[in-house]
Amino acid sequence: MAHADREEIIQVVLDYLAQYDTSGTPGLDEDLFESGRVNSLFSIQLVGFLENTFRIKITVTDLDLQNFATVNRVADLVLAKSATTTGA
Amino acid sequence: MRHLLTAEETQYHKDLVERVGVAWGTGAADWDRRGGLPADVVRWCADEGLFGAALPAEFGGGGATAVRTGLMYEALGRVSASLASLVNVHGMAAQTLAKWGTEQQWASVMPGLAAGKRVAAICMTESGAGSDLSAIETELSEREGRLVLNGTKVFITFGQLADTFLVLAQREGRSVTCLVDRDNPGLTTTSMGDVLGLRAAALARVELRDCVVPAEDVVGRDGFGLSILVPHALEHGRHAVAWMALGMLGSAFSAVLDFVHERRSFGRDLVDHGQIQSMLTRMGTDLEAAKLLCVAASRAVDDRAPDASARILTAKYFVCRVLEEHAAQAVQILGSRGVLEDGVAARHYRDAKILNIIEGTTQIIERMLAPIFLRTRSQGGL
Ligand SMILES: Cc1cc2nc3c(=O)[nH]c(=O)nc-3n(C[C@H](O)[C@H](O)[C@H](O)COP(=O)(O)OP(=O)(O)OC[C@H]3O[C@@H](n4cnc5c(N)ncnc54)[C@H](O)[C@@H]3O)c2cc1C
Repeated sequence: MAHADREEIIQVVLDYLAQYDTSGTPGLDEDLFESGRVNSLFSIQLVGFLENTFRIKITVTDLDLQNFATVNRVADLVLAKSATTTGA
Repeated sequence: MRHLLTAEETQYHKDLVERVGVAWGTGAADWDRRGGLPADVVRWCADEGLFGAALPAEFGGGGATAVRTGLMYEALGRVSASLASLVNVHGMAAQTLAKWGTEQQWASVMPGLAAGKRVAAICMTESGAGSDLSAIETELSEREGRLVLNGTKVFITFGQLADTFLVLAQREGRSVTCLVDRDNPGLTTTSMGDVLGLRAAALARVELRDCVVPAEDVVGRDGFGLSILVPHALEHGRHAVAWMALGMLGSAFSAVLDFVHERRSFGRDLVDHGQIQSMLTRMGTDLEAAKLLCVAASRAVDDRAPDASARILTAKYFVCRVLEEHAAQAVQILGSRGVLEDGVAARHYRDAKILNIIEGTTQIIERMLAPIFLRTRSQGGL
């Protein structure tokens, strides 16, 4: 899924979250960490999942709470990274 | 294990088991008595490329797959859990840096770590914070324009020997990690004294008093120490511990199998007594299950499978649990010989307990795994 559009990304991320969280679909701007949906084991799985699915590499410069906090922000991150990643 | 591995993996493992065995097969009891590993053992690990084996090739590492990395820990665990732990804690720190370091850190720190010229330790635990690391008090703060680190870490594996320390701290309440060198004037290490197991792991209390930390030695970003960097390190650690426990279980089983053949009691070989057969059978089947779980976990990592973390947890939990049970049974079967410190059974018996405390205690792993099993079932996966 190297060049997905925003809606596709959001859907893929929501599907992934649904596997870990059976309490219903989060709002796109809901803080995943503060709401307790995401624990520490999950956060590194999420990094691995995003890297594999969208063929991007998440590095220290992406470690910004803003990037991971909500589904919308995750989508922004993936879009921004996909734009700078050539090939795959 | 041949039936679970490729021909190359089998060969790699066989060679390494032989090399470790020839070099250090009889050293472990003495290391435990001394409470540390001799310098030539550490150098040997470096020369053999073990410290960097699992690091990506672009950092000068061996680029080993997870399966090969696991087989390395198995081979080391057979001989000594302390020896395997030397490579493990170094790996935990180095892997974390390989993933979350900056270009500058990769250039300045990774070559030494990959070559094993410098040995790393990882400092998370404090006297008031073990399983719950959110309670750590070690503080990175700014003073007169400089970053200073203050706090005390305890039970740091090879803390008496390491050249560099990856330290978990908090800055204004947000978790963060940073590197501190042995020669930092604010850092002192002292022995934790005599311990039950991992006796050769040179455990240290690490005191950090106004350690000046250059800004470029901060690893990761504030707020991500606990959520990303520590879990990353622990994942490497759990994978390693599962495999080293497998090696220990295998060598305890071998010692028992040798013994039940040669020892006679009540006119029979020991192996001909039904109760002994029960113990052997439980040990043998658990060993087989342990191999399957370890290989499955590593293959999941190599395949970047979404359930890799859960498989690592499962393997760590199971193998360490059965090791603890069977190391005790190995001592039982060996009788008085089992308690001799020169034998493998007594040492594995003591070390097995430790493996159920480090990289997540039994209870902490249960708290992580139970919800995973529930979820898997609710998704029709069980
Ligand atoms: C030999 C050895 C080497 C070590 N090496 C290192 C190292 O290199 N670096 C490092 O940072 N640390 C190291 N440690 C520390 C190790 O990681 C901790 O001991 C471990 O995390 C447990 O913390 P604790 O000992 O403070 O126990 P605690 O967290 O105080 O737990 C005490 C008991 O309570 C249980 N418990 C805690 N919370 C819960 C809960 N929520 N539900 C149920 N039960 C619970 C635990 O399972 C345990 O049985 C080492 C420890 C040992 C013994």
